[in-house]
Amino acid sequence: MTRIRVMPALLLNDGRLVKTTQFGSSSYIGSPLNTVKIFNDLMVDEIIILDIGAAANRTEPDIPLLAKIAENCSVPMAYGGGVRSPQQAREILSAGFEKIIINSAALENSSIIEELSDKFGCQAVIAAIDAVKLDDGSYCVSSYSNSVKVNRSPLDVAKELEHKGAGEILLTSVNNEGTWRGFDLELTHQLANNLAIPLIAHGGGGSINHIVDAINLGNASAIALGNMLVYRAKDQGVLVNFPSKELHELVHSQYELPI
Amino acid sequence: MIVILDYGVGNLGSLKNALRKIKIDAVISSSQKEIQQASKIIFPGVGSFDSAMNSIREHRLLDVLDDKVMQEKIPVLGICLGFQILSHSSDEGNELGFNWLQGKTTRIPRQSTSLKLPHYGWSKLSIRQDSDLFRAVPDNARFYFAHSFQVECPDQNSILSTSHYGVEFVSSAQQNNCYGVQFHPEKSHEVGLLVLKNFVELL
Repeated sequence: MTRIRVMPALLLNDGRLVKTTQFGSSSYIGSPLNTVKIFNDLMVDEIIILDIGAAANRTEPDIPLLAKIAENCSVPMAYGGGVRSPQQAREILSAGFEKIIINSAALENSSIIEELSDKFGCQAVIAAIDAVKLDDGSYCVSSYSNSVKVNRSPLDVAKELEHKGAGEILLTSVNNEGTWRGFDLELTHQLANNLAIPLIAHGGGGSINHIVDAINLGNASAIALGNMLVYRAKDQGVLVNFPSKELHELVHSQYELPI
Repeated sequence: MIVILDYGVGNLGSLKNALRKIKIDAVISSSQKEIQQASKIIFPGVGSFDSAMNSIREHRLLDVLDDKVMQEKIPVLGICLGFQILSHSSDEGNELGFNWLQGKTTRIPRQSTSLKLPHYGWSKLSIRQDSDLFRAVPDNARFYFAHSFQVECPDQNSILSTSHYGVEFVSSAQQNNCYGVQFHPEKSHEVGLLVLKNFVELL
C-alpha cells in the first residue's frame, strides 16, 4: 500500500532559500545545498524546489546549482521556476531531478505540457496551479510568482492540463501560503475529486492536524510544506526539520491509501 | 565497464550520482563501441516507451544490445521505463520492446475513482523468490515508484516481487541475465543503493 507523501517545498531566489507569506515579504532561510542535505538525511518522501526568482523575473533555471543540489540527494526531486522548453526540462532531468513543474508557461500555452509528457512521460510532469481566492469567494489563478492574474478557475486549468498529459497537480493556495492557518480544504477537495491524477496540497500547512485534514477532507494524495519544515514554530527562528515520528503515528500509519 | 544506456530522455543524473555514492564509475553512452565493451548495462527510467525505443533505433543499437544480452548474456537491469522496454510491447506506445523479459506492459487499471494514476509513492515489496538483487534488503523496506504502467509477466517464475496499488503488480522480475525493477533504486535511499550495489556485484 502506498503512503501519503509529505514533502518540503523549498523556495529559491537568486541561489538562496527564502520563505514568503502569501507570495510576498521574503525572509532568508539558508543555503539550498545544506538544507536539501538535511532533508535527505531526515528521509523525506520527495523534495520540491521552486525558483520564485526565475519565475517572477522570467529568467533561466540555474542548472549548475540544481546539479549541485541534486548530487547528494537520494530522494525524488521536482523543480519548477521559469521552465518554458523541453530543452530546459531535459537539462533539469539530466541534472538529477525526477519531475518538472510548470505553471506560467502552461497558462500561456498548454501544449508545453503535452510536449513534455510525450517526451519524458507524464510521471515527470507536474502542473502547478497558484490559486487566488477573491473577495467574492470565487477563484482565479496567477502566474509569474503571483505577479500576473489570469481570469480562469483552478479547476478549469487543472482539468485542461490533466487532459494535456500532466501526471500530477501541485495546488498552491496563494491566500494561505505562509500563514500557518491550514490548507484551502474546499478548493483542494474540489480539484481532487474531479481529477484522475494525484494532487499535492500546498500553502498554509501549519500542523499535523492540517495535514490530516488535507487528506481526510481535502482528499489530497500528497502534501507539500513550507513554514512547518523550515521554522521552529510560528514566529520563531529557522530550524530545518521533518516531524517523522508524528507523521508516522498520525499520518503514515493511518492513511495508507485505501486501495 | 558498467554502461548506462542514454536514450536521450533517461534520468541519467540521478543514476550516475547513485552509482558514484556506492563508488561505481559508470559510463553514460549511446555509442555502439562503448556498449560493445560493457560488462553490465543499465536501462534507465524516465521517458516514454516509443521515444526510448526510437532513440535506441536511431543510434543503431538494437543489434549490439541483442548481441550483448542474448549471446554474451551480460547482466542487464531495467529501471521503471527501462524495465518496460525489456518486455514485448506496451499499451503506452506503438513500438515493440526488446522482448527479453516475456510479458507485456499494460496500463495499471483504475479500480476506483479514488485510485489516482500515475502511482507515485513509497511501497513495500512482496518478495516471491530469493534473488541476489535483494540480498540484505530488509523485509519492510519501501522503494519509490512513479509509473502508470506495469509489466505483466505470464511466467510466475520470472516474478521476483509484487507490490500493491489497486492491483497486485510486478515490482521486479528476472529472466536469466535480465533484471527489471519498476521502482527507482537510484531514488529510494539506502535500500535503493543496496539494490544497485547488488546488481553491480552480480557475477
